[in-house]
Amino acid sequence: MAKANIVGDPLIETAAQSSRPILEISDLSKTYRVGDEHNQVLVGISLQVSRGEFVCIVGPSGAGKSTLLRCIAGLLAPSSGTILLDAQPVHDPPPKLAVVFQDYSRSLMPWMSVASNVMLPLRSRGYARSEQVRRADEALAAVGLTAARSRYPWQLSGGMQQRVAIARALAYEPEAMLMDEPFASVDAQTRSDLEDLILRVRDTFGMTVLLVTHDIDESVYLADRVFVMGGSPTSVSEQITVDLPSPRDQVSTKLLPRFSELRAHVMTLIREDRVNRGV
Amino acid sequence: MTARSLLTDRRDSVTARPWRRPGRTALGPATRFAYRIAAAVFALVLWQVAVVSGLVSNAAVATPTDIVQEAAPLLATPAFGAALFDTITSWAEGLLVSLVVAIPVGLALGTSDLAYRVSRFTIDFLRTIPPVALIPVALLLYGATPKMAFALIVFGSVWPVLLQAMYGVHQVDPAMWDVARAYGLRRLDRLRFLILPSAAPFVATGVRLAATISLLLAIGAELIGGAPGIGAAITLQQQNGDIPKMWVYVVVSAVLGVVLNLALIGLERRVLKWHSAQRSVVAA
Amino acid sequence: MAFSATVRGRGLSHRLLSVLAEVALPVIAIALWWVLSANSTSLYFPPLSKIMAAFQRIWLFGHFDSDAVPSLENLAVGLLIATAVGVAVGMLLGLLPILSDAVLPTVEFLRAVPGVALLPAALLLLGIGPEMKISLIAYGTVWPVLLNTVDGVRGVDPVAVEVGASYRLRRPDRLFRIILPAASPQIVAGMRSALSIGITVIIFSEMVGSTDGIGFQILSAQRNFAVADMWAGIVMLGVLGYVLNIGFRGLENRLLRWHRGMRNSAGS
Repeated sequence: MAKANIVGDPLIETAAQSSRPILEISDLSKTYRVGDEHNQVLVGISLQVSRGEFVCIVGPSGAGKSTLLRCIAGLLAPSSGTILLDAQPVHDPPPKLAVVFQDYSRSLMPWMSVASNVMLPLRSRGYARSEQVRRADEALAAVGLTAARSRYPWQLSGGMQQRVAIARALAYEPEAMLMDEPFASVDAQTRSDLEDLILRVRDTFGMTVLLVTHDIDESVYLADRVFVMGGSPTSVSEQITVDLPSPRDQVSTKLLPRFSELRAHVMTLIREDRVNRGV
Repeated sequence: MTARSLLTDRRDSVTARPWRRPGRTALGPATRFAYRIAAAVFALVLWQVAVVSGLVSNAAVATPTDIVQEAAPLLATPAFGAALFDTITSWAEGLLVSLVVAIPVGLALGTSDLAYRVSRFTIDFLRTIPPVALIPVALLLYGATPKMAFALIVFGSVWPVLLQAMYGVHQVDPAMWDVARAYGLRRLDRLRFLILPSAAPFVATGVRLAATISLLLAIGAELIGGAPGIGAAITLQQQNGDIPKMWVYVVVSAVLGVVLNLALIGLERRVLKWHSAQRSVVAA
Repeated sequence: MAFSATVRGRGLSHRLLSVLAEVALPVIAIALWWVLSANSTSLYFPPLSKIMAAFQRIWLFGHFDSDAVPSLENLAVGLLIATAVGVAVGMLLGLLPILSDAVLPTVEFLRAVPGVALLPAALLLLGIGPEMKISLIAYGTVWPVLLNTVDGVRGVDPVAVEVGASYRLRRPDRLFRIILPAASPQIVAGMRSALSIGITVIIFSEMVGSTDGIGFQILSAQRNFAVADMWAGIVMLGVLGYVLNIGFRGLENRLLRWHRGMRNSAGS
């Protein structure tokens, strides 16, 4: 599939552009105020993501991964620190970013057909309707759901619904995609299929992907780099480069000894973190 | 799906308001109360200005200040007391009788699938007849008397209670019926431990609905039909041309509605507390 | 062959029995009414045959145009106004929780004023024409629509709202493509309440100081002791009310087809 088709400029990588990370987070902290209590969730988070990278953020449940994702997505204001997307500070949801939410059944609009759902973000882009339809159909084809375009989200299985959400994000033509535990609510078989789908999408469109998950295997399988979160308040415990060969395969990649090593490394970190936190 | 701890939900919970970024703290109760008073005062000022400026004719609407002025002496008169008494007794009697009729019938209909199916169409049809349309019938039968009001109230109030009782019985977990049968529970026990606890909150809602309808019908019967009470007082004052006094009665009817509703909510809470306690005993 | 015939036969007779059960009571009741009242000399309960004759004479179709239609028209206009105002204000309040929290007690009080108690004032203010009836209907029916709209908007799934925000949807799109549809089941429930309240209001507003309408017909028949005519009017009202409810349910089914589909599939 043609790379330059849906995603635009960012693929023409100039030397200057490719050297600067697409996402830079510096010293991010978030404290929630609940009544009189102050609950610091995140502290001193700093990380950088390069263009076209696939980054996984992994950590135990309740570590504040979703909070971090929401801050990056511009849906939540951090208490301190900066977030730069393509050198622009993030205050509101940036136009170059698309989010795939965990709860697909709630993020898709049940009163709209699948095609209308995918077209929804295109309205604010000012495209003519025929253009919107074309782009939506392309996105649906990319996730293999062309046959379902006239159906309603609640008529589809969980895996298919999440694919619709991914198609919606694709149609938006973002430079980066944020995914908040997107495969947590589907069965294992569907999860493998979706993991491979998102890898294909990344390869085809050259997108940067930031995926939050609690599934260690998934994080190592998908990522170029893994950020392990830990501590209380949460910060980045360690950054691990995943030097597994591409393209990844559910069987052969997971048979590699390096996969087990990386996996064990991440698991050890998380386990230690749990002990340290006394959980 | 992973089980998330309560702590997680608190930390990560972001209830996005449609236009605002999340993270705002809620207002304290004192501030909320002040805002509410301010809103009410604003509404009253609007009302006053509308009438005083002539936007709304003062031959039809009295200003809040006039109403308050008239209210103090009026509330002390025996005529007022009689009207209030008449309305409240009509309301109470009619409501009580309708409950006594509708709750058992509703529970029974809810329990029997056949009975429900047979009576469904009839109930659906009868309940869409607005009771006010029967004021002429009641007038024919009883004249402009409290009896007329009573008949009307009973007819109008049975339906919500009936329907809510039936609905409440249908809310019983189907699995529980099997349990009851397996343990050979007697009818009476089934009623006590299965049906009543499940149907109670719905019946309570039905009672409140019926109470509202009863009050409306009481005043309607009085105003249109001429039975004694607040409604009749409104007509009388209008005929005398005493608009402020008429509006005092209008406001009283609203206050009555609010007070009765609050009283019933309080009663409901107390009765249901006992019931939910019993329900948890059964479940344990 | 024989097997399938039996199975089909059972299905058909089962359904037939079910329908029979449902219409049995009303049919029997009406038949009983007819028979029992056939020789009635009671002033207040004339024979059903007489009532039916009066019904046919008056409402099919003599007075239909002159009385039923104005009633329906006024009802429709009043409900339309109440829906427009209720949804608009309700959405505004739903989106501004501080404002709605401040205003709701006042709203609850205004709603507690029985519509019928305002009838004399409405007559004084607006006379006996359609404006009075429409205003009274609008006043009585706006509250369920408004309150249900506020609830519906407040109850919109935060995830759906976040989707709108994260994809930078423009304000009108967020309002009319996300919030309004999401709140529509609740709003429609409010409209159902409004319909039944509206029917009540139109009837009593026609009973005091009016020259046409179904309510007027019923009351004037009673005043003239044309008892059969009075009952015919009540029957007409019952039929009309039933038809309106069915019509509304049909409308509801079309508007909220997605909602039913969603809930049915959630059970699976």
